[in-house]
Amino acid sequence: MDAGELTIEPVTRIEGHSRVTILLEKKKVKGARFNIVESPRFFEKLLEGKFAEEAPRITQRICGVCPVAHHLASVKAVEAAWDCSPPEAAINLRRLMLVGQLISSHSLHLGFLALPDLLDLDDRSILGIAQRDPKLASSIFKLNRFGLRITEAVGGRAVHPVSAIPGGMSKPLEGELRDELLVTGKECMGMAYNLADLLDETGDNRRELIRCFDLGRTRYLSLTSDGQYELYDGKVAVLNPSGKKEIEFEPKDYSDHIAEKTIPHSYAKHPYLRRFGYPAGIYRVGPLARLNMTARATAGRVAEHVMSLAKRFGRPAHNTFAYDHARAIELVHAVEQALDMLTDPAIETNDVFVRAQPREGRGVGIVEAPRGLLIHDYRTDSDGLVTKANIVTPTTQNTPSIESETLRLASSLFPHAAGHVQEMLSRIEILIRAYDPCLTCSTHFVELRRSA
Amino acid sequence: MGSKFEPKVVAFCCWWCAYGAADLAGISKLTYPASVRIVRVPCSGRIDALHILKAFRAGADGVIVAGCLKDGGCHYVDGNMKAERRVKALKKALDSVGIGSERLEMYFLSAGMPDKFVEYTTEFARRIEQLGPVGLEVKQA
Amino acid sequence: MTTIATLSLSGDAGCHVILASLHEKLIKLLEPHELVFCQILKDSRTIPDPVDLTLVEGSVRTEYDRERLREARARTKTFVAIGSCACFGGIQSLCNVLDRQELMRETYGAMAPETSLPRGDLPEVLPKNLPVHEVVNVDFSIPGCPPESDEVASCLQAILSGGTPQLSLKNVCDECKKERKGKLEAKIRRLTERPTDLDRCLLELGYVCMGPATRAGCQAKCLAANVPCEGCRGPADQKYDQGVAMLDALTSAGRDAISVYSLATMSAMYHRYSFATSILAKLFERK
Repeated sequence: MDAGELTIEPVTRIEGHSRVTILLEKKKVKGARFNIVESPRFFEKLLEGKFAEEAPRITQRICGVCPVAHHLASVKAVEAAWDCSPPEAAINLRRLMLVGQLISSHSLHLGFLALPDLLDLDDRSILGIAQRDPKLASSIFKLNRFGLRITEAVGGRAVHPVSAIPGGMSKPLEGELRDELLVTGKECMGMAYNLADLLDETGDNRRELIRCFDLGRTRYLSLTSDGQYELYDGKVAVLNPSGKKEIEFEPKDYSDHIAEKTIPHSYAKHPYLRRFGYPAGIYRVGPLARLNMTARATAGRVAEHVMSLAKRFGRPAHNTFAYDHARAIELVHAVEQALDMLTDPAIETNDVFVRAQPREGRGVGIVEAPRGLLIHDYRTDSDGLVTKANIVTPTTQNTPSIESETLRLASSLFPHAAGHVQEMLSRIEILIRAYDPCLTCSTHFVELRRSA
Repeated sequence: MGSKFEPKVVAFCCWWCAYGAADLAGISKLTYPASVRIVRVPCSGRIDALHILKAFRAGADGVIVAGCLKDGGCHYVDGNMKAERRVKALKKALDSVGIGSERLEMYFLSAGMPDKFVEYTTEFARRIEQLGPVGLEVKQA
Repeated sequence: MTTIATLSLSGDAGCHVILASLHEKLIKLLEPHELVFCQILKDSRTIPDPVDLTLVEGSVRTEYDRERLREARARTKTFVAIGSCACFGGIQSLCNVLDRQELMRETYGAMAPETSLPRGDLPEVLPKNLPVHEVVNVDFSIPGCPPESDEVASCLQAILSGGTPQLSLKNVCDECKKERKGKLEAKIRRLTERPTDLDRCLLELGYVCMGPATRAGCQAKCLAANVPCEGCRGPADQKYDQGVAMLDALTSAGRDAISVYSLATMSAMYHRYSFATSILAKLFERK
């Protein structure tokens, strides 16, 4: 194709609605755009005037795939605003629920969205997998079910849990549920290992595909606790492209470090690190960021996998395809963590709640959602009603990279695309899928700026 | 010349007291505003909040709920008290949607008080005349 | 053999997560049929014309939603709204309480001349968020935020075999295991207060529990977790207004249901998922 416009619409097998447009002129890529056309739902505006303790149940409707992350970031923000510390036992339950979310989200992404590209299938879908390899499909389902069941057991419901309330949790984890989860978890351990092995295998078989996702080096941002892998608490740290930790800050200070640039040719806002300006301050979040950040991997099989990640992609790993490897590793780690937490008798503790006092305040709640760092920032009045809310989602933080890499990949592929246009367009989709974007999360708002 | 605003007022009247009073007013040749349309119900407590809101949606500019006297006047014991609570809550709701609490009112009377029926309906209709039309697009409720 | 499509409008994909989480049941359900369009699971780009069955998730928030909805409806024989966004407008309907002019000004303010983006690239936000049935005809509705997986499976099973899905006509109280004593406490309680008696009805204890005005079918899971029902399944009968029905119930029971709080605050308590269909929203919209 010499000139004209190529469109992928919609980009399939991702959460949410988007389109890619590639402009060609004289066989060269003149431009490539990744447009999110998902409808804005105005959650930040919607929160104004609501009882802040209702925010965890309200804001999780931003996303049906990662509601737990919003539920927890939200309750943390309210607790921070009201200067309330929940009991240790409540935090343990929340950690368990978050790990459960990682399991359900990653298994959904890998099994239903990403793997169909990596296995040689006529029908690139979970239905195709079920037909070709029923045992693999069954493992994916079991893992997904385990994650959802954890959320249901701790949160009350599998999708859109209800138990996180400012002050703690509305209920402890019942013994029978804990027992059931332990049994299922042990069954799932092997399946998680197999999935990670499968990704490794695929890496070996698809070197050429993977090479084209070497699209640059970025900074990474994630939670960390002294170099340890962290999902629920800790500080926010920034890794430079060479892997050195440059900045570390408290969640409450995020706005001192992260700014958002309005982009004239898109209605998305691009977050970036203030210290380095735009666009040098662009960074990536998510499984790759978290594993790159982890200086000391936990022992055992996960350490092996982290080493193989480093071996295949370098340290830090920059290749976008490494995201899926990282997800598979995180899935293993998450099942191990879940089993650890479930085995600890402390998980059954009844003392999971202290009474929070609604008051005027401002609070920031940050967790690592499956897709990356998630920030909820609320102001409340003396009645405890939300007066202002700001929510920064992981996909928003990855959008600048998705956009720039789409252009870079298209530019590198298209001069040689003759006769293989579909294959090239497919690679661009695979690139986007590797980010596991959650577009309903990223467009829960439209910039509500008044024109200057 | 502009035409005079003819308000549409819906009056939910309980059969035992309010409607009885209205009836007696008619028989006694007392007049009450033609703008008031009566809807007879067995008890003021029968009225759903939805009836009142639908009346507004259907084009009413004002709504009256009329029931028996308090302190034991209600034929069904406390239907009128339920109605009173409903009306109070709905007044607040009408304020919050910008229609205004003054457009809804509850009155208590007995069947032997036709003069009160006339007084209340006249006073309310005048209030609505002064407030003007609600300005709702009339919908089939 | 039924051709099946799923459409996502303005929502959170939660209903698709529930569908996907049917796992083996989904594979089995779909076996004799063909999933011809489902952009989250398959590489399908357009809904074929015609298609036998379309499930639509999400509400109508933008012109793009409306266009796609109308196009899908025109091509479809049996149209099913799945999830409370499609059925009632969903939680994003709470924005309908914002002054229309303000929201429009703020939205288009973002598309002011300083952005050189052509209008066609951005979804034009409609003045109000709408449920699907206010734009096209719907044959069946499966409510919930998200709907229960068992209910989704049984409804789909029924539809695919040419039958009519049955939703519960009861309310959540019928499934709730808390004890009702028939006495309302005078004090109104917020979620921040943990119930003193975990076995007792939360409505009676003074919490805003939408159980009496919400359709059963969820086994009252939230109540089992000691949290009041937020009404996510919509009214037990679609002809009722959830929040107004609740107001009626409370005033009948002796509670003074006057709130010192605004419509913005209380709509999230009594109409969290169904505000778009509420009569209060319709009355408010006349401005």
